[in-house]
Amino acid sequence: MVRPFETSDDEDRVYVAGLSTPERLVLAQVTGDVVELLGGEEGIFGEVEEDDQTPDEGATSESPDGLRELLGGLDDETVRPPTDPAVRRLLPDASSDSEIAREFRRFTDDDLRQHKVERLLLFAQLLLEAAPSSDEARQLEFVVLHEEAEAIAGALADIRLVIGERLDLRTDDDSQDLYDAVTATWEDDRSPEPRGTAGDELDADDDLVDDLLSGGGRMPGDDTAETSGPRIFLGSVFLLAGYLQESLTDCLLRDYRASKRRR
Amino acid sequence: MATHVDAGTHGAEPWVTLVWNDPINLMNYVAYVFESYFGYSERKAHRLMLQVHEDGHAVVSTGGREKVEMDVRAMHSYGLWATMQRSGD
Repeated sequence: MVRPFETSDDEDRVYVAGLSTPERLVLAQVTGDVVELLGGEEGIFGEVEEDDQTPDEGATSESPDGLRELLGGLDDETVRPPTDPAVRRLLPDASSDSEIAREFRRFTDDDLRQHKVERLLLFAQLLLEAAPSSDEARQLEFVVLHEEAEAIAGALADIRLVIGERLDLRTDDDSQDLYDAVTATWEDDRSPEPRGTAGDELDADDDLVDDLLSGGGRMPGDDTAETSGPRIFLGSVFLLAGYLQESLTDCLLRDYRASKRRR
Repeated sequence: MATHVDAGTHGAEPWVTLVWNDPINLMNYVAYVFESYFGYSERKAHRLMLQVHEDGHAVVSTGGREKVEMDVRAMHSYGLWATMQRSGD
């Protein structure tokens, strides 16, 4: 079970949470998928370019196509809005006026992508820092320096935005329904204590995670998978990321307000 | 609607930054962004956060076009959904 971020008693200027090895691995993988959506891994897209000869089955990720268009440089001056709605949520239109939105995108798209990719990679690096434990229930310390905390909270926000888009969360009620559906599976758990983040659900295989987040994966509709399956799995990751982001933000807020009072 | 982009006048024109409600971002995170980025008081940040949540959006900053562009870019960087427009639009 995850332990929320707290100010460290032993070390200065760090926040510490507790995460099991499966929790770390699934978060690192989801983080990598979001990096990929943002076009942060040159190598992956290089491969896609070469594989271009093979006709797609029509269900692959949209984002490489989007990036290809971008890199193809149809027009140096134009940066097209992302075609993948999850990427578009990370890099939204800055105005309902298309001219203003286009100009904004032209000047900010590269920097924003790079900034988001950098902090996602930092998050992934920190997740993979501790040596994995063969005891899956064992909680390992997850240490974030104060100066890294805002970047990590931002990375968690982006991860949740992408998952939220894939899960089609449009209203506060949608979020509440997801929360209820995921936590209901914890109560069903045979283990005597409720588990913070549904450890069992976090053992999905790698390909499943990638498929779910690539945008090409087929997310079963609400009716087919209310109590198990991919929707609950992604929902568990969403709640885990939210739990970490919320507790880290509490730390940030507390220290920001304290430093402001001292000024 | 046709929009004339007249670089000469934009510096002086008042623009606004709008932040829109979404079901994903956490309330304490939105408050943190408003306090730490804009330097707003705890009370003002909380009021704006609630306004976004309840009314669907709120004006979080005003200024010349460049200032508002910078604010929108910062909001997008934090993961908040923000847009800019001329005040009064």
